[in-house]
Amino acid sequence: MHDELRKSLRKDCLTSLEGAKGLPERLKGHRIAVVGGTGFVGSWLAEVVAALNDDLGSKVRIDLLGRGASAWTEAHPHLNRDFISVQAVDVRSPFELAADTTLVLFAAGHADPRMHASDPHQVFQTSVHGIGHALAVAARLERLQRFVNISSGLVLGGSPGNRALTETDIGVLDFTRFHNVYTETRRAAESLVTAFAGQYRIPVSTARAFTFIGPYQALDAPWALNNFMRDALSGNDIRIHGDGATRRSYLYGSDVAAWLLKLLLDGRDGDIHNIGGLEPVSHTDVANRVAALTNPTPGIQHRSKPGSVGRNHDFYPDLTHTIDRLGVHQTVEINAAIEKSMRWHALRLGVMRRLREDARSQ
Amino acid sequence: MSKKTRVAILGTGNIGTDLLIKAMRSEHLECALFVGRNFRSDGMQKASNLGVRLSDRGIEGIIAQAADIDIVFDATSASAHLEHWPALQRLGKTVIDMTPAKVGALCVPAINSAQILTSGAKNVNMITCGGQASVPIANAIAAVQDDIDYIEVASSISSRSAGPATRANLDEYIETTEQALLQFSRAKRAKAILILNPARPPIDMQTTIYAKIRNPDLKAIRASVEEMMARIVAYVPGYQLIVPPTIEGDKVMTTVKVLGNGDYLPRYAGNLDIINCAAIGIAETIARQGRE
Amino acid sequence: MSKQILISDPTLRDGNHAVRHQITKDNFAAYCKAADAAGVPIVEVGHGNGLGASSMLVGECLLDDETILRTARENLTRSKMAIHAIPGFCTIHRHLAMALELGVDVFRIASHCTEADITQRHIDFARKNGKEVYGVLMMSHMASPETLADEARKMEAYGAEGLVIMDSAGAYLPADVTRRISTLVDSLNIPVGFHAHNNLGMGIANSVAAVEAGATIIDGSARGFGAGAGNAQLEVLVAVFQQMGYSTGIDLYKMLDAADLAEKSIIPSLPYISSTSIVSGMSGVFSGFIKQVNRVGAEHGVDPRDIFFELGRRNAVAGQESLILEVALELKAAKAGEGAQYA
Repeated sequence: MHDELRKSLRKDCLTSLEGAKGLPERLKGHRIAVVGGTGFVGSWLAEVVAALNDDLGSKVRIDLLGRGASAWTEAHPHLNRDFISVQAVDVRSPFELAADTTLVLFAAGHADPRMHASDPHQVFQTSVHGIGHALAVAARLERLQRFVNISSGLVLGGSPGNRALTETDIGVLDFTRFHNVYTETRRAAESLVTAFAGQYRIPVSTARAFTFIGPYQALDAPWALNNFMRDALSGNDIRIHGDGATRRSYLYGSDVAAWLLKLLLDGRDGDIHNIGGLEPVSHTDVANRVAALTNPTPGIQHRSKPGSVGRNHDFYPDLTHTIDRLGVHQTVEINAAIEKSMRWHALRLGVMRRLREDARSQ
Repeated sequence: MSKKTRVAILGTGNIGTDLLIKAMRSEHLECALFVGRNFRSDGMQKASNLGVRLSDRGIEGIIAQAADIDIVFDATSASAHLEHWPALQRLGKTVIDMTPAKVGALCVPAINSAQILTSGAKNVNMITCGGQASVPIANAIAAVQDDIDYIEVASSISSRSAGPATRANLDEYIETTEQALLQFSRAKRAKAILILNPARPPIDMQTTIYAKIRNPDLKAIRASVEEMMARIVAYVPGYQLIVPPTIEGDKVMTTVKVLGNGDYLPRYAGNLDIINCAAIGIAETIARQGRE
Repeated sequence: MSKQILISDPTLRDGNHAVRHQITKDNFAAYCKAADAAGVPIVEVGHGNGLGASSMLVGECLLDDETILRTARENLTRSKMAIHAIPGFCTIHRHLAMALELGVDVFRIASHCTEADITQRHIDFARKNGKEVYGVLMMSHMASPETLADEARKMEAYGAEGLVIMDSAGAYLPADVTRRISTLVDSLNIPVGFHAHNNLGMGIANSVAAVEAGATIIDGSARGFGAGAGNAQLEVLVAVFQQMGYSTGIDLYKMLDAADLAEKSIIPSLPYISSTSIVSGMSGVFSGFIKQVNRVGAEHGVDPRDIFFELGRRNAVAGQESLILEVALELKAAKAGEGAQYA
């Protein structure tokens, strides 16, 4: 990987770790297993663990289990370290974890709506059967301290709209519809976790993921922000489909990793915590910020406005419970997050010239 | 042609799967069949990865392969065992019953392996986990003391090591353990207590044995218990005496701890490990005799 | 019509803890008679740890269960006779069946607050035999209100007709009780009850908070006769509830007489809040550790109170006696380390 990118990622990790006090000392001697660990969350956790060990005097091990094991190893040569192991595992079958694992993070799943549309059966198996296997093997871990399930804020279902969502804003979800299968699988997974916790006494906590952003997220993933960045870096106008007023908040990768580590250490049994960004930003606003970083400034086209106006699709978390209880901080705000992501993609694509001059370096 | 005795394991839960791993390690046993009712259970998948032959047809699966099987471990449940036993009896197979069904001869390898062999018992019952930990000690005390009025055994196991089967069968656990205590110590009365301890990190299994004896000869008791310990450790490596026999008022008390081997289950689940070690122990004894 | 509170009186069960389970037959008879005369709705009798618990582990009872139940039955006519039963100590065949036969009316099946699923068959036994059965969650401060609700729901599903949480360590303050009881009242379709201990002097206040949060079953003992610092003082509860306009169905004067009788004939020394009780209440630790904590503390020159607080921080439970020594040694080493800085 580009040296500059590596250093940049390391810097991000150290900044995020400052926002989560005491981690280096408290993580010493722990062994973390990330099930479904060859994606965004696993990659960022590996980066943070490397920062903890290299620069902050900690001594943590991390095992990433996932289907993309060999591809991951090839793509991350700088993370080929003796405290990071990668294992090829398909969670739809039972698997083993290292006997001295102390913290387990279930991060497997398919967040891509295109997959939900084309292979919902696999989506179900990965989330539900997968978490069942993870729970079963965790139950036999002698030194298990905590199991964290990364679920999705979508489980809340039909939301009140136009305000931040708390962990208890549970709404109605029409589970008979095809397009709701993914959300229903996340709910089923949370249920299975509750059953295991109640019956087998495993210490579990749940993280509800909202929108994450940063390097290690594919540019062609179908999220609005990724689309805008891809448009801009391709030298095209930015196209906004649908209602530009819809708001999201964004949490940067290194903050995500730091917050998850804090949850692994300090979560309490049965606790549910939103993980996401503080500041809700509309799609239009985000598109403008992407445009502002691009050279020359692209136009913004509003395409295909939906028929029903006024229906609110806001999706962003209330972080009071998470910040109060876990004592975490968001260290990378939205502008910096967008800038860092664009720089990452631009460098890898060789289109740095499309970034505004002052955005080309840290 | 293999010289090992061929075993089938009926029941693919935690007990059955741990038994499988121990059987595969044994010099005298080989697992011919791992039987349950659901191929998707974690134990089945583990067995599949280990290359073991599987069946999801329960007792029918064993009947179908009867010619290839010498000994059957029944690790299902007491009520299921009552259904399995008549079929297994008809097949003439030796059954090692891991459940509290108590159809057959109660067995504590350190005490009565020889008698089990000579009697030719076809149904060998492994009592309970607390029983395997405490009954040999009670027996060792009885060997040097006449007239034990009362024996009491209190076991604490970690809450995490007590699965749904244990929780639904506390009464059977107590009754079976007490029956074994009376049989092997000839005490007038016996009591078994089981405590689930929710502490974290999970505690190791610990058992305290109390005996009410009129004129206890502590020296003889200690020597007898030490000798019994050596016999137990031969098949339960993690068995430890943590408080040697001590006189407190009108009772003699001693405490043992069992640290599991960690084959399939965490080491704090010594309660599950000891009954499996004992089962493998008697199976190997039967196997060795079978080849003499 | 004023709100009804169902009083359940464990003087002759929890009180047995205070006298190492040596309450005499005459005393069982006498107090039962007095409580019956006062109209105490439920009178609980037995070994401190319940039916079948007489053992070397937790102490041998002067009387066997059968004698206690017969004696109580003979002396209770209007009042219902109750037993406390912990699966793992007692069994259905040997203990609950006998209790049924000897006329026990109320079965209070108890577990540690996170282990409700051991009570299924025992609750079921009492229910199918037409007896009143309550589920009891002990050391309830060791679980969150939500976990307590989950465990309580299990007992409800098994057939419990009421759910009582115990403050076994006397650790609660009124706000803690309010939160827990309201969560339970919201979650369950059966009445909710509270059993207080007085380590922090909150026995009465906590019981009042429980009632105000929706509890309708309250435990209290005469003169607070019970384990450790004692229970909520029953005759005071009756008086307070009367002042607050609640109805217990208990005759105040006769209740006072019963308490006087208990003080005169049954209770060798009245419960009081000792320094150790305060510390074990604050740290939420099982008070049965007291002897060992004192001994280990003396042996290693560590203040036993510091040991209690550290045990509390680590959520120590009964059966973790080995932790006491470990904690003492760590505290000793930490003190030595501090000293070295200034050497």
